[in-house]
Amino acid sequence: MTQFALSAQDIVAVRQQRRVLDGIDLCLIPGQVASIEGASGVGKSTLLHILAGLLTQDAGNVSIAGCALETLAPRERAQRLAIAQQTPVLPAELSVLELVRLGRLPHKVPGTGVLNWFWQESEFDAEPIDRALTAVGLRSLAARTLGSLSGGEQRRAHLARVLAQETPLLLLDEPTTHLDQVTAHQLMKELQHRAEQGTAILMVTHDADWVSRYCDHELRLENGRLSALQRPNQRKISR
Amino acid sequence: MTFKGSVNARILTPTLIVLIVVAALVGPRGVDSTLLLRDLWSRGLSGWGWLVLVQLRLPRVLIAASTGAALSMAGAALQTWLRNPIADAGILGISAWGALGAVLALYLGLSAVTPWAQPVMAAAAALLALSVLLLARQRAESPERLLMLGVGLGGIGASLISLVLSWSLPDWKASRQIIAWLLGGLDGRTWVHAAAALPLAIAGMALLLAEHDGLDALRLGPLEAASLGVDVPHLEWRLVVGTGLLAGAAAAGAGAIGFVGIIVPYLVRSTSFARHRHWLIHSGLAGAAFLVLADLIARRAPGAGEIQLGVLTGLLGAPILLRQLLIKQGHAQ
Repeated sequence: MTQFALSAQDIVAVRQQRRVLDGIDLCLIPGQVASIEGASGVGKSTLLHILAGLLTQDAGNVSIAGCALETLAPRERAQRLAIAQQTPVLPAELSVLELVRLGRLPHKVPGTGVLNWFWQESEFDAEPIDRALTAVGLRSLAARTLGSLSGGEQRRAHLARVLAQETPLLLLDEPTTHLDQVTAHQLMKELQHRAEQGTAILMVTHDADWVSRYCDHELRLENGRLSALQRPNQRKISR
Repeated sequence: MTFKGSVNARILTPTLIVLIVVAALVGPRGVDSTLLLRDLWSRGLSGWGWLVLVQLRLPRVLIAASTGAALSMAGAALQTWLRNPIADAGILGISAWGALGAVLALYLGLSAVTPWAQPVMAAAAALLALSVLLLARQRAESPERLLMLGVGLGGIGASLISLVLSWSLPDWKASRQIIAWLLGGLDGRTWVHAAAALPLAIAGMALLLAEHDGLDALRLGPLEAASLGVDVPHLEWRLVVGTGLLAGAAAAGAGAIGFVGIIVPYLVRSTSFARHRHWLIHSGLAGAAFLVLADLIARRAPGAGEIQLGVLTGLLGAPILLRQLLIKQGHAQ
């Protein structure tokens, strides 16, 4: 029996007396890449936040790799899924490397508070950080502060932070927004590579070109419900 | 004004030790320090010099150091929590409530019964104010709004202090004690005061240092911190308890001391901002050195008598805060 990387049943979310999500069912198997499109304000980000356990749904259940989301401790949850926000807080004084390094926080070996002081990045941590920086093309800017970067570079730094978590499930809210074509392509290739290694990816995006090239499933959110889009899919055809 | 690239523990630790030694050897203005050194040299541990050093000077200097460290570390943690570089125990009204607790202990005569009354009541009142802020956090949409709530909370605390002070006016001795305490200072501090304030300060510092990872993540906002596996509500409560203990220890040890919690973390942030493990420790060391130095200046300053420490930190700190606000405003325009 296939274990779902992500499974959501009958998700309902009511915001300001409006049923933003009205019975969402969604399953992703490891290695699958799915996209969600829909008009602005339709509830795409709300759905992503509920699937990440950052917002509470009014009804329905979410499971990550067979475990109910609400039974997972915050740290366990962060080891299993990472989410890229659409508008993250990026402190201007923080360097790119320091931001990306925070992505390794869920994997830090727990210890007592005082012993934790002396934790340094081990070799194990250096590799995922390096991989993430390379994936978004920010290795050469690792020492720069976020405040000195352009909007697109800041977006890439945030994505590198998310990629550095190296979780089996990635939830990405508009990952290619603010990115130039070359970087967006580089990022999508990296996501494809991770999917081939078993990472399940769900992304909210309006970019039909990337979707058709890299996603297995295209979904549309409308009137609180998800529906599958019937569009020829290059990646599926090539398989 | 920042110490770019120059502030770290290797410099701050010896600086603090030297300042502590100098401050312990140098007495108030008008007292010849060489007499003390001569007595220490000739009679060692059995002379009056040793007694003055250990019984009078050392507790005062240690309380100055622990108060400076406590205020600075609490300021650094609050600035991250509220994502506001001018947040500190004073601005958020926590110090006012800590002061209210300590003033009540003086007014009710409890501080004469036990030296623990002032620190415990100061910490309890500071914790109460922080708990109100934490509950308000659920409703406040922005850190700026929470800061305004803190200012309002501080106003209530200050009004209640005035009320207690007006009640105490018929009793000249009590009102004088309260006024002297409110001006902030370390005059007449002994090991009894140190024994009451230091454990609270150490507990508060340990709590905040244990949460350095959570604070690192919290700098990205509560939602990002949660996505990085931080139990945010749990962390916020620990921050409330930690900063409450520190504000209480500072208020009980040295009275109302302002601005240290804003200016010290600000001055060291450019070199150790990235990791709270460094920022908290550097802020603590720099805050301790700053207040030991400020107390030394207050004791030796020319004038009719000692300048109260709180007055001096206000005179030094307020211009730096104003400068910072003007720079921020300049950036915003």
